[in-house]
Amino acid sequence: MTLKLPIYLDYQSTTPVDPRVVEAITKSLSEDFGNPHSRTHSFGWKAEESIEIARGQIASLINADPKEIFFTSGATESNNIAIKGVANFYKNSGKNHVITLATEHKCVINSVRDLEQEGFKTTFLPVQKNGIIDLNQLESAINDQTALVSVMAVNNEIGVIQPLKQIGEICRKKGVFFHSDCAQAFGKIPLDVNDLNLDLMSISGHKIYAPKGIGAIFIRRKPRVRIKALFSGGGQERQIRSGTVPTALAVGLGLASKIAQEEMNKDYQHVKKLSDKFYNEITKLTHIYLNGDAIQRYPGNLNLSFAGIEGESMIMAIKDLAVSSGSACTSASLEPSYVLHSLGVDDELAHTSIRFGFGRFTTDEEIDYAINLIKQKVNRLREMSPLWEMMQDGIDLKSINWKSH
Amino acid sequence: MSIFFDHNSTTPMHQEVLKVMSEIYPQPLNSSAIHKLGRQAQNIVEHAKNVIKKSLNADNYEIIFTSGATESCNQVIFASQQSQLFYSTIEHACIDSCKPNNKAINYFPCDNDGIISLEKLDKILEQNITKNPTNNKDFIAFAMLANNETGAIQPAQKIAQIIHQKSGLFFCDIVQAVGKIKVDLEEINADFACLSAHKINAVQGIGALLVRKNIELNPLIFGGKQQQSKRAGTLNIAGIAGFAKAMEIATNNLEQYSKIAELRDYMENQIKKIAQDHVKIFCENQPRLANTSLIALANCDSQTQIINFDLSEIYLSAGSTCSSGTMSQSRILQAMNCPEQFVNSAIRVSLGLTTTKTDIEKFISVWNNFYQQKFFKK
Repeated sequence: MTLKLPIYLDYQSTTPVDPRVVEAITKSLSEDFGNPHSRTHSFGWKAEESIEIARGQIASLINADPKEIFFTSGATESNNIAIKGVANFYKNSGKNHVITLATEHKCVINSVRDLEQEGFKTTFLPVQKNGIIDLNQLESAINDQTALVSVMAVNNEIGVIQPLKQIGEICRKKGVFFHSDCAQAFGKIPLDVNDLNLDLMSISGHKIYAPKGIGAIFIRRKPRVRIKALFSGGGQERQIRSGTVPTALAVGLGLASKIAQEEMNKDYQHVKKLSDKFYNEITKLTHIYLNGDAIQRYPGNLNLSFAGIEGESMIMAIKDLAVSSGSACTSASLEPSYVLHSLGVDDELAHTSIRFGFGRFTTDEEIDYAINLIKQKVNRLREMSPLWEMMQDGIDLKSINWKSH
Repeated sequence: MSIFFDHNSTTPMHQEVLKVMSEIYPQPLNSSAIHKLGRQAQNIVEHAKNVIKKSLNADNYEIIFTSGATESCNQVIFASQQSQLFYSTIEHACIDSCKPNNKAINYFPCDNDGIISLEKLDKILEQNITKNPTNNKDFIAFAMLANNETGAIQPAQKIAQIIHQKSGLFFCDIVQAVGKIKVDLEEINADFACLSAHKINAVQGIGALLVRKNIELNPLIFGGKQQQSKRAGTLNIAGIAGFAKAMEIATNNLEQYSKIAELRDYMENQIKKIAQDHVKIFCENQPRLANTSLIALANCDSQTQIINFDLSEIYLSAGSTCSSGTMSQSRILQAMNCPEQFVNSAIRVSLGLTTTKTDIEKFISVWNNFYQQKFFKK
């Protein structure tokens, strides 16, 4: 069998829609096209019924009540709603402080920065060298004015898993709301909103084999979390999110959640097997560094730095692999990743970092092909590289005073 | 066979649109990715923009894809630099219900015929504009091109003239007009316009905001640098491709669409013959969308009428869908100073390209039975 190139190893950026989900969406698009908010006729009721089933499927995956799930256009919007919504609602009760991590997704960082512009106090907590939050620092950062702590579950660039349970305990003890961007974790690792003491959670469709353009937000009812909506309009989704709920996309997210719940173990084992094989083989080449904690991580995301090679030439050399260097959102610009920077990774190594993402449809053959290609190209690029030669000669590259021409 | 007469609320998917989307779904396309698939996604987005620009004569506009018209309107209202807003009294809820704390909002009315009054617009702008030294454009005024409830087509070009004379920006909601009448943004001279895909036989969950080039606008949703940092979030590639296909089909089929008016007019004439003074058809003598008819039967509650139609498997609504179920009086009819006996008794019939003469005959027959029962049976 010939492989289809490029091989897709960018599952953190987006995923293909699962064929079962495509079928459900197509069926929904042809059959229940009604406006789910049309209370006056059965086309509308049928669409509404489909949406409610989907809501239940999403809730079930995180042990929430369906009434706590609201549809949005995606995780970016959910993160905006959670962060700005909570901050703006509670600012009148004297809460004007928001805490997040320096390594959060851009949409969390920029939502918090926007609050800063509006006069809120903000804290961007640094992470440890392994990319994990320091819980003591979190605890001491929380004060009487703190309204919200927002910490992601799985990092999009390096795949490390933050200790949500401990963070949840601290937040509950201190009486502050806890939000988590779970775009990269939902459907991939077990998440129980009650066990984790989560008050708000952002969910993305297109990271779990559902279409783009749909996501959700979990907002706890007991104890109730209130938010100021980001949109005004028809007041759909119980005033949380105005705008027609896209029935077919919601159906797609619902089914994708159901499949993820039923097949989580299978998916995880599959991804872990491929990831382990890839990592073990690639690290047979020396001077390859895994970014982020080696244990506390989601195996479908391996962010590796290749010493002695230039980042751009590496990307060019392995263009048969669809991969990202840094988060896809920022990858159009070739600035070094702020996430790796927060981990204290050297600029040179940050520039040669590549994220390999594995998913449900990645095959053994694809991994073998990728391993061979990388081994071959890395060896060749290193042979040509003066940097590599110097490293082999034991010269510390940092001791060199680079002169610009 | 059930009959769907609620096309202003949403529309069935066009088979060709569905085909375009189904081909894209199995592919992992993210337009932010740097690899080949990322470029493929970018090409789809660029092609879609070109199709939309061509369909609306909008070469001088920047297209921002959003989750739908509600988001598009919200972005201009909440994220624009202007602090003075003027809404017509017949705007959709996604404009009317937006009341930012830090902005002043004034309203300009329509006349009793459902058409926005140019004279009053001029006067209200004159009376309320405060000159803002920091912006060369002092305010944004919002007026839709075609009303979703009555179908009445507004004199957008003249509205634009007045707004621009007073040094303001014009936001034109063209959601209901696109695909039903020719929409030429240069001719209308709008500064902003919003679009919704699911009103033109594409999918729910995708829409666009068109902004005349060189007008500054902040994002409403913050995050990655997608869409020139005007709207964060991974682009909905399949939705965008389907949307463009639907635009292409809809704007090339306007002649066919205008023929729906023959069925609509036949229906209205039959109903008027049956009920005469007991019935009122709104904006009957105004320029109207070919498919829309807002019909009131004196002192007969809208909901009762709708339930009656539903029992006969004819699906329609009382007005705007967003407010359906909430039972609030139609803002639009109030804005038109609708006579008391008709204000709570209107139903909105919105036909589609697939509507047949048989559908219309069935509607008339059910309407007639209801009317006879209400007015002549004890």
